[in-house]
This record gives sequence, C-alpha cells and structure tokens, in this order.
Amino acid sequence: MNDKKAVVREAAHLSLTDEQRKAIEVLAGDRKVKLDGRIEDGKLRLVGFQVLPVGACNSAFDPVE
Amino acid sequence: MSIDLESELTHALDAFGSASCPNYRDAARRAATLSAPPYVGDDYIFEYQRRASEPRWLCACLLANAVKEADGARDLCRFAGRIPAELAELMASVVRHANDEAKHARVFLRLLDLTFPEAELSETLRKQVDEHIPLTPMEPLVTSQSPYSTSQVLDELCQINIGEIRTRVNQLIIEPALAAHASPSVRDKVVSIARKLLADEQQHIAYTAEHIELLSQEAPDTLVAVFAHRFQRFNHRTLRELSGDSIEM
Repeated sequence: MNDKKAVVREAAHLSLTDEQRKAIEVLAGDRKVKLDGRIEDGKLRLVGFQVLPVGACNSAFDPVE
Repeated sequence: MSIDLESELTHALDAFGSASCPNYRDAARRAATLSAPPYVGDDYIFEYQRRASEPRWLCACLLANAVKEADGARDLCRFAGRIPAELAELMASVVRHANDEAKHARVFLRLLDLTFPEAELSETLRKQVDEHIPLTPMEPLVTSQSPYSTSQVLDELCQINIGEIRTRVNQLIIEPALAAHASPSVRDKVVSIARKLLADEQQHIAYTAEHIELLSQEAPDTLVAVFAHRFQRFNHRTLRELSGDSIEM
C-alpha cells in the first residue's frame, strides 16, 4: 500500500517516466471493467458505486438569487 | 503537491483573457482566504489520484464527467435564455460555452474508449448516456420567464466560474492518471485530448472572469460578497460530494 501511495504522489507532478507509468498500470489491477447502471431523473446511477467521483461542474450549483 | 489557485487564475487570464480583471481577482483571493477550497489541497489531490489509479473508478469518473458535462450544457442554455438583450455578447459567449460542454461530454466518452478499450458499458447504460448528451449546435432556451437582473446574472456567472475552476483542477489531477493507464499506442492521443479539455476550461474561466469584471464595475463590494458566498457554498458542496453525504450528483 505504501508503494502505491508513493507512485500516485509521483503522478501528481504531471511528468511521469515510463517506469512510473508502468508501475501505476501494474498496481491498477483488472482493466476489463464492466459498468452497469442507468440515468434516472437526469442522474447517473452506477451499479456498485454509492458515491460517484466528483465530476465536472460547468453551471450554477445553487438557485440564483 | 498542492495547486495554487491564484496562479491558476492568472494563467487562465494570461492565456485567454483580454483584461486584467482586478475586481474579480480580488474577490477570488478574498473568498479563498475566507474559505480554503478543498480541491486544491494535498489531501484531495492525493485521494483523487489514488482512486484514479484504479481502472474501475477512473472509468466511472470519465462516465460521470460525460453526464455532468451534458447537464452543464443544458443548464448554460437555460441561463443564456434569461440573459437580458443588452448583454448580447455575454449571451453569445454562454451559448458557445454550452456547445463546448456538449462536445466535452462526447470527449469524455472518447477518453473512456481510448484509455480502456477493454471496458464494457452495458448496452442500456451506453444508450442512455448517448441519448443524454445534447446535439450541437445548441441555442438559448426560449422561456416565458423574465430576463435576469444584473445581480442575478452576476450570481450565476460567479457560480459558473467557481465550478469551472474545480473542473479544471480535477482534470489537472487525472491527466497523468489517464496517461498512465493508456496503452503506449494511444497515450499521446489521450494526453493531447486531455490537454485540449484543460485549455477549454481555462478559456471558460477567463471569459466568465471578464464578464464578472464588467458587471462589477459599479459595485465591486457586491461582487466580493457574492463570490465569497458562492465559493464557500461550493467548498461545502465539494466536501459533501466527497463523502457522498446527502447530495444528488
């Protein structure tokens, strides 16, 4: 786990060596991802995700006063 | 690694702005001093990248972004439809922005397909997401509601600007993760697309800042108050989104 932390911290610097990229891929696990879910009332509901990643916000987030 | 908010705003205005926007910069600086944005801190960046190292999470992140960009495009057209006629230039800019976001929604799906060609979206989900993304060109939404007042336009612009700042920060954080996950044959393409998205977000920060500056000329103190209020609320919202505590995403 500590190794993973170190690799990800390196990634934050926006310049990865090939070795670091390989390290992340190795740690990343299964790439055969299966996503299922639906859009309900305009909201994305993904099976297996109680909390969605914090995504884009390009418009007002509160009612305008 | 933390991200310096003020530098981000300076870079956006230097790259795409045509004005120095002193009132806007002052309002942003004061707001960040009153309520530190969690999304530029070490803990947030580390946690986001830790999660982005997992393919399943990053795939979900790209998909969630596609849906949110589509939502944003529609919201911007609603906003454009309520901008008063005397602010025609702003209305045109907001419509351009809406069209950018509709395109970004498809770009996020493209990033998902390029970076994770092995990933599978269920047929229903893929179809629903495709249908959710608005077609371009988009136009202002015609409404029977009265046009916004200047203060309402200012409020909505501040919210858009603040949201764009976090969006760019999130994209700065995941760009290296995308590069890391992409196979060598598509890595340059993935990075090129991600950097184009980053540049677009800078442009959106710059144009909203310029219009905020124009609208605040006669009442800079109002801008400081509005920006600080929305900035703080968005910070709280970000923290709730991170914890998944009673928020619709």
